[in-house]
Amino acid sequence: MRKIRLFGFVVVLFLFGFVLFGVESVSACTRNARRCSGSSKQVCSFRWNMWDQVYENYWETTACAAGCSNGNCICTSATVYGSWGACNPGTLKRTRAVIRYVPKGCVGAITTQACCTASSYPDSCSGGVYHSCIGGSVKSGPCTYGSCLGSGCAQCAHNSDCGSGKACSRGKCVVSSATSCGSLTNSKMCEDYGCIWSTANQRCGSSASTPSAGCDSLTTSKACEDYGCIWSTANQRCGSSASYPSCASVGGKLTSFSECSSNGGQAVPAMESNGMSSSYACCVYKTDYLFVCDAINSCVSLGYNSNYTCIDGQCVYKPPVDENGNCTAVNGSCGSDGKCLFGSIGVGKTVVTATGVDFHWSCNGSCGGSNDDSCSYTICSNKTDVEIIDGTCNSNISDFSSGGLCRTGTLNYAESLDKNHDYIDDSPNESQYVWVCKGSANTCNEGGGTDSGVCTSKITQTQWFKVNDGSVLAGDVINYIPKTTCDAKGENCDSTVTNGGVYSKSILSVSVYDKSQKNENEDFNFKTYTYSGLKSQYFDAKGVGTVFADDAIDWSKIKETSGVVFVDGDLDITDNLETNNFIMIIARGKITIEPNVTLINGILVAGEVTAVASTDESVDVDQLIINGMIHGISHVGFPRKLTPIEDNNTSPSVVINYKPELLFKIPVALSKAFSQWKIN
Amino acid sequence: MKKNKLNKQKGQVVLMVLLASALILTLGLSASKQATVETKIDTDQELLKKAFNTAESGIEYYLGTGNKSYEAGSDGGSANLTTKTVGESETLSFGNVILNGGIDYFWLVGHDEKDGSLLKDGFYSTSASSLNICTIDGTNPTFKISYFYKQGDTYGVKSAVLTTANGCVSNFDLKVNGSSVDSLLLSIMPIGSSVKIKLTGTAKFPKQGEEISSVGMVQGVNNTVTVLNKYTVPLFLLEAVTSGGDVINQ
Repeated sequence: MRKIRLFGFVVVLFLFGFVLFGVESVSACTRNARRCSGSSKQVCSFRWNMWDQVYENYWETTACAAGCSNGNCICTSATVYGSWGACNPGTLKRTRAVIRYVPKGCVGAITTQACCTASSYPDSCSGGVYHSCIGGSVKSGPCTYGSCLGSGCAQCAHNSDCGSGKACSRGKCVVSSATSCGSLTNSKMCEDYGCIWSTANQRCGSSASTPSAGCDSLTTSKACEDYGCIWSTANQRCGSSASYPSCASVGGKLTSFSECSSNGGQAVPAMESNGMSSSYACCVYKTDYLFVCDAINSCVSLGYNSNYTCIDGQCVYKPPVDENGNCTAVNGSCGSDGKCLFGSIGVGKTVVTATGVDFHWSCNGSCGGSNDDSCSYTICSNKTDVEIIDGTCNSNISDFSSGGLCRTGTLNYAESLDKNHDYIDDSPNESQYVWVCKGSANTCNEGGGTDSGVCTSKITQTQWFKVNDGSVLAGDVINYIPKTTCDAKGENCDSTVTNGGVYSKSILSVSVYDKSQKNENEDFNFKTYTYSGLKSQYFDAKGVGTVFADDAIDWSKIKETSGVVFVDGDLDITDNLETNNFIMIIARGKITIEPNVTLINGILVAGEVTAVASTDESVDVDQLIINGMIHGISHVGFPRKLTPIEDNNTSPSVVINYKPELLFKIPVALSKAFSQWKIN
Repeated sequence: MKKNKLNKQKGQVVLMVLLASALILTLGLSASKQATVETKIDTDQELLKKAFNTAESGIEYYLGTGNKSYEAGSDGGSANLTTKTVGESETLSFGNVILNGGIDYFWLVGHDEKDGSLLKDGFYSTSASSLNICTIDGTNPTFKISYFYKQGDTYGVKSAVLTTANGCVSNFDLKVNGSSVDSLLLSIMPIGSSVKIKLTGTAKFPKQGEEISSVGMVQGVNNTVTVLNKYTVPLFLLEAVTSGGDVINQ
């Protein structure tokens, strides 16, 4: 009986072992996944989806079997090596292709040189790694400055690496020579030599150099300073010696050229479009040459009376009207067209506003015509169904809700409407932009503006962005085009995209006023590109690009680099990128664009790209223009907000202008790649 | 009497042992058969994998050396490669499915064989003023089409969203505002469905790249890998703003 039990136990053991043997332990993986990112090695088995069964071909190299002599392998018969390549004296490589199983984890580089001399194995450098033959073996190591220079390492990366009196030029320390500035043809070399690069003129010069057309020809402060010229903030111009004062402080009240000449000014100064003379030694009052005014030099301070207002740098005769629109204050009367008559300037004088649009301010008076539309009423407000709109009596006041105009003058509003507030749609961020301007011309109760004779919107729309000549492709798109961008009829509103479309995977949240071409489809497949993938494909495989390590991210240096730039971390863009060269910045982390940045010429690729808003609303924030493309793997955000806040009513805070030429300026080395695999 | 009874019981034990042995033998043989079959399958699968890897290695070897014959070694087999130009014909297709919302593109100008740069002449638009964009299966999806061109020194892009009729967007105009331009690139995004696309025209399309086919052979087992080595651009350069997540004003 004991034997039977023992036998039974053996049988059970056998069966258990059989079952156990039949169970296979697998290490599952996704088909064709690659364990090491970007590596061609360790591909997950395409058929069995297991890591454990992965193997690869590789070129195996063996040390010279019998050692080295004067740098050559001491070889025995080739047959000794079996399938190895023939080993002849002087042949330094002995390799064979074999298949081997690879362990989990990445495999390091395979040495291809087993025996060498300095002459048989010349120094080389690739990808910032230096290779040299030392003691019969190949030694490799990173370059001190991270980049190669010919077959060796670069001597420097920055001027500071070269010591006193020398500058770093293309990885090489050279004697800094200001006299050679003019021969340098790109911004990097220019700055490496301690010269000054002029973006406006695309040339290099010393601090004393001047453009051929003279300092006066430079129109931006940066270009001015690049040439060593002096920029006048007050006058917004560039000069060759000292900052030019405004006309007012150099006798701008002179009334004739001869008087100007006798006061040391240029006899007949050429006049510029802004009303200032190019010599700036003297300003002359002439009918065609109005005095220059600005925030510092008001028209009153220039000798004008209070009927003059500074518009576009010129003192313009713009008399005020009283709250009822009467012209009594300007020594004129109300004309038949409902405009004030200005006796000293001329009947029906039209004044150009800051926006360049003709305006006329309303007045109550002798309106002509025989019906409501042509305003037959002396004072429109006397008739209950008539209002003055932009200086014209108009009976059509029935639909304020679809307006969009700030209506001046007395009006009848529908009692059902709130008399004192803007009308807000059910949808957020879409104010109706209607004010109730009861009883007072040029005064908007809600808007509160009296500027330029028309009510100025004080509605604070949320910020929005706009794309020109390209499309937006994203999982979700949220943007609110405000109705304040529409015309008086609520039509012809602005759009998120012009000459393109919005293609969104999930909920498409754009305003009803947005005229963009919209496409929503939850099955859209949008391809994204990662930092590691692009770096592997471009930099690691083809040596294209410049890498800024995580601890060496410096925007001031990055912005002066051209081509493909890899940033191994987060990037904070703190000032403008005005380059005319091709630049594609690829960041591993996030790219943040600060509120003071107003121009970026290039391509931004990152996990997230965000144009942030200012935390201080008292600081003016202007529009950001990006001439290029943006690719955010998981997020692209434009919380940037224009200030003054009313600017958001009509202008986007961020404008992206798609530039197709950048597509054809990418380094040609990147143009050939695998795009498709088939397995038969 | 008692002894006889014991003898009878001994016979029953032998019988039980015999039965158990038969059962175990049956199970053992079955297991052995199963193991043998699985071993054979494993061997075949392993050879297939080796052939696949050899074919892949053959492609890399070709790209590095230009040699179409690859010997992996005594136990690694060999690979034979063939190549075929993609393009240079009046019909052009890569044979791949373009997913809904995915993008594929077709070059309308040739490339320098040596460095991959765009050629300064040989624009498709020089020989033809239009082309047809068709689905291979004859279905009628909507296409978002971006036509990149150069006019003088100025680059431009003409975009359109067009629905196919009879499987095609016919006679897509390669002129811009009535003027002839130098055609560069045509990108196409199907909207609403995934399709295979072909271009047809009255002139030969420029070379798009080459198709490389590698047959890996290990101990009589073959496996073929085919790749398209195409002149390429990152797709995010074809649009202004792209994201796998959201694009928002907040």
